[in-house]
Amino acid sequence: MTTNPMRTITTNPTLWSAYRHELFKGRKQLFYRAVLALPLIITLLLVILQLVLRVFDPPPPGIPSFQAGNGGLNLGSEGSFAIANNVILAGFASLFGILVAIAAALSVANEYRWGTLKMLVIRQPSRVKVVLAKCLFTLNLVGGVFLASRIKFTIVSRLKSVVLILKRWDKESIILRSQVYRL
Amino acid sequence: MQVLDHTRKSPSEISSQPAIQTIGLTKQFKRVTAVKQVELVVQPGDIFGLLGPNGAGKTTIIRILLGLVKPTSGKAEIFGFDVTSQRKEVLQRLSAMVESPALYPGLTGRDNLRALALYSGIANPNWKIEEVLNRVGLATRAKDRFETYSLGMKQRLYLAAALLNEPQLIILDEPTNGLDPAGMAEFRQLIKELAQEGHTIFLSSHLLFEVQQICNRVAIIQRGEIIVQGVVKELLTAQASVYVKVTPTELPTAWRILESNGLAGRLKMEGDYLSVDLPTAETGTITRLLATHNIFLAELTPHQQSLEEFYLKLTEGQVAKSGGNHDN
Repeated sequence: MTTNPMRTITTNPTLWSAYRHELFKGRKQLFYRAVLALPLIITLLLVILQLVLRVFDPPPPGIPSFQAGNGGLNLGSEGSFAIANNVILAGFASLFGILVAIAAALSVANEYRWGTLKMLVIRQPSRVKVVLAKCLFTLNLVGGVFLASRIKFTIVSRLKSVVLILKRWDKESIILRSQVYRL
Repeated sequence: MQVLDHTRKSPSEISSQPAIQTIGLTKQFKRVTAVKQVELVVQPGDIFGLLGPNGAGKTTIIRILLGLVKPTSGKAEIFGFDVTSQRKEVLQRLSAMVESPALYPGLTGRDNLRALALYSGIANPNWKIEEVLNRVGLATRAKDRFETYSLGMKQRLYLAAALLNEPQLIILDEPTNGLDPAGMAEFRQLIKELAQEGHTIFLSSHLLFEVQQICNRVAIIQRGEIIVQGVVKELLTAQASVYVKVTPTELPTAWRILESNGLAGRLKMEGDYLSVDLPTAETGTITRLLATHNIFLAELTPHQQSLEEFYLKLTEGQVAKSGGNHDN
């Protein structure tokens, strides 16, 4: 053998090792990283867009100034922009669920497509553990997306102070600009 | 935690067992019998070639050995462990390359090996990963993604993956399929080296030249049945023939003499030559017989058959006809 005689390979093929294998693959593949990052990225982009609109286009009377809504700012329910905003938010909420379902299906389908499933079943651990590891990985994704949505909610709920700063900055800049014009 | 090579059977017990033994192995798929009463014996340290045309049952045998398919009757053992009821013990001792090299395309070569090491629960796998990468000559390309590899490189990485858990037996199903001549030669060399290091190799192929180059023992399978099995050299030597050349006028007399001295069924005319199917060691018989009748040879050429000639002779052209292995 070419192996180092001083070293011996020890193996412990268990459900835990199959699960670590799934996690490692997930971490290394762009799609799974995207599934976890998308809720954050999309929400942040959306909120930035909303902030810009809110600062330069004040809300109609009766609508709370800056309130965190489902996945973004609550812009009320009147007006075309507000309705579009709500539709988009509702759409994104279900999109993440669909993404997790697709990711779970792909974790099995890709093994078939690449022919790697056969390679796994002719190794230890057993087939049952392979399936269980994939279930655990899916639960992991669900947990990850849930965590991402909690982070997103926290960010949105802290937006009020950010918006006020932006608004004050905007007012000051308008005053400054008007003084410049007067001069 | 399992330490490989440490098993319920003692090492001496394991080494005394055949690496592979099948007893009356049969696999029936509805009306089709893919494998019929197959009796195979592969000894530890062998490079064993399973030869046969497409659809002869080679892959079915390999799938049974790997526990992917259950035999209809008979049994298969690997180092004395039954492949059906003692799958765990069997899988500890073997690795396989089945069909085309299949690994994760988006991962690098090194990450693919790491993923498999994690799967097998190999503790501290880094040194082993580097070792097998060096072994197959892929250390410099280990950072590249699997999908960017050539077929030859994919095959070598697949072999590296098979070597990760230090198997005693490596099963290779058509390992050089699709490789260019240089890739084939490289792969053959790698297999020879692995055998020298103590691995038992079982490979299936329909490339006879390749098998003759690397295997010490072969079995030929046709329509699901083993038609011959043995040491390559012995099989070919037993089938050797001798080309005899005498003057054309003496040719009928020479034929008659040899025919009347027990070589009747072994004679054949091949152009100007008289071909006699006789082991090379027994060529003295021909010279002695002809010389006693004052016929002196102009030429005597021993002809060692190639495995391909042997195979075609054995199957008598049925290979071309056999599109599968149907019972009816």
